[in-house]
Amino acid sequence: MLNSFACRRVDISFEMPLRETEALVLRTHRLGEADKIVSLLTRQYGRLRAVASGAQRPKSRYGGTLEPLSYIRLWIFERENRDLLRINSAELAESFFSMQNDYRIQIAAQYVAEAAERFLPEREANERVFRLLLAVLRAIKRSGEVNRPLIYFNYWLLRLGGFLPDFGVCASCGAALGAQGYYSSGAHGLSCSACQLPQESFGLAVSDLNSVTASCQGTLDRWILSGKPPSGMNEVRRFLEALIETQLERKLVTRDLLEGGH
Amino acid sequence: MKDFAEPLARLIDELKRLPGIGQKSAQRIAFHLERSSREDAERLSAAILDAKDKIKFCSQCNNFTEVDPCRYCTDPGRSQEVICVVETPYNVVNVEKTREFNGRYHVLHGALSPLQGIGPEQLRLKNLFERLKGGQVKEIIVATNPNVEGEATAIYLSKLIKPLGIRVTRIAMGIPVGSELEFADEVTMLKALEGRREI
Ligand SMILES: [Zn+2]
Ligand SMILES: [Zn+2]
Repeated sequence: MLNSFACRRVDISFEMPLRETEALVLRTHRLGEADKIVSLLTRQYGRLRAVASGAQRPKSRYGGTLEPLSYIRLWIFERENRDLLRINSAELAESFFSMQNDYRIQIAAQYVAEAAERFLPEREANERVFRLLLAVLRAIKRSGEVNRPLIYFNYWLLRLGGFLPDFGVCASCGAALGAQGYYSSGAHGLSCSACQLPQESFGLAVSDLNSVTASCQGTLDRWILSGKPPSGMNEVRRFLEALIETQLERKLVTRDLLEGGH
Repeated sequence: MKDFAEPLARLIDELKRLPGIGQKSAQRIAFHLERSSREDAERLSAAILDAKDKIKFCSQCNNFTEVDPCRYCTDPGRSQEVICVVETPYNVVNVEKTREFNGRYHVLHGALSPLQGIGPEQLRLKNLFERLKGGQVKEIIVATNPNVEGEATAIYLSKLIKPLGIRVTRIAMGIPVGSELEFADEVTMLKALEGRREI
């Protein structure tokens, strides 16, 4: 297998030895007539992009393996002086294809993929982020719930990146927040009622944020099994998503669809 | 692109923007055109412009057509009771090639794809629901692609259409004809099992 693969490629002499890793498929793009570029979050090497030869062909050996959000085991070649790696082979460890059964769940899962792809730097190993994504996708798939898995995802994505603000104080003047904080788009945290901008701001109960923070310290499964989602979760989720967009300095396309409520 | 004279390089660049055309195919086509006569090149460019100017969307099914409604929508020999929903006009050709389908079509011009910002509003759905109001349609066959986007679109449609009392079916997904079970991944195998039929 390896030899026939090597013979077909002229640039094989630049290819480094085969590596094995686990990965989540974030998204795929067509490349030329037969190939695909696969954007991956790997457990061992962080976020990568790799070429899967022949993956567009109907009888491709990849089948459904490289569909977005598949959890796969793959063997890749590193190529010297190239951004893109090359996939030698891949096998499915766990499929999330059934999440397409519910449109809102599909959007939630793709939000996770989009935010991860935009937020995580390429080739920076971060096993905790990998485990976070896997746990969040599994929780969405199992529970059919969107808010708590996405809050947990947003909270830890921000916290692991070092971008989580102090929920107790106003981001503008530093005063302690009372019962209510306000979020205006583009801000890096909550404002007090004095600093609040009148336009485009929405209020959040500080007690909701405190309870979310407490719940996020345990596992996501434990939080979901603890009972019905508490109230105010929509606002908390929107607030954390807005913080992520502010960090990225760009809009996430899946976020609008998430609000669409279809 | 310094290897080619500028006009040739530009032609190759334009060809490369076409779907499924990579650098090598673009070069092959460009060199072929370069070798052919001026009349051949004129015929090709006239055909491209003619198609661009004369082809429009069918107001009923959104297929590409020269006359509106299109010949599928007006053919009295085709059943009005079954509509096959596809993603692209090209997929109409795929289904027609089987010579087994005698109903009508509906072209969505895409599939739900949150990552590309394609939601239900971006698909051509409105005239589909207008067609369903007449009460003649008994079955919708959803022939969107067997991938994440196509499947999401199919499920989305079925949730909207089934409450209208219309049967919604999905084309089978599974092992490609001529391949072997040994190489099937578990999603493909599962879909093949779900789509099994009595023989
Ligand atoms: Zn303040
Ligand atoms: Zn038509």
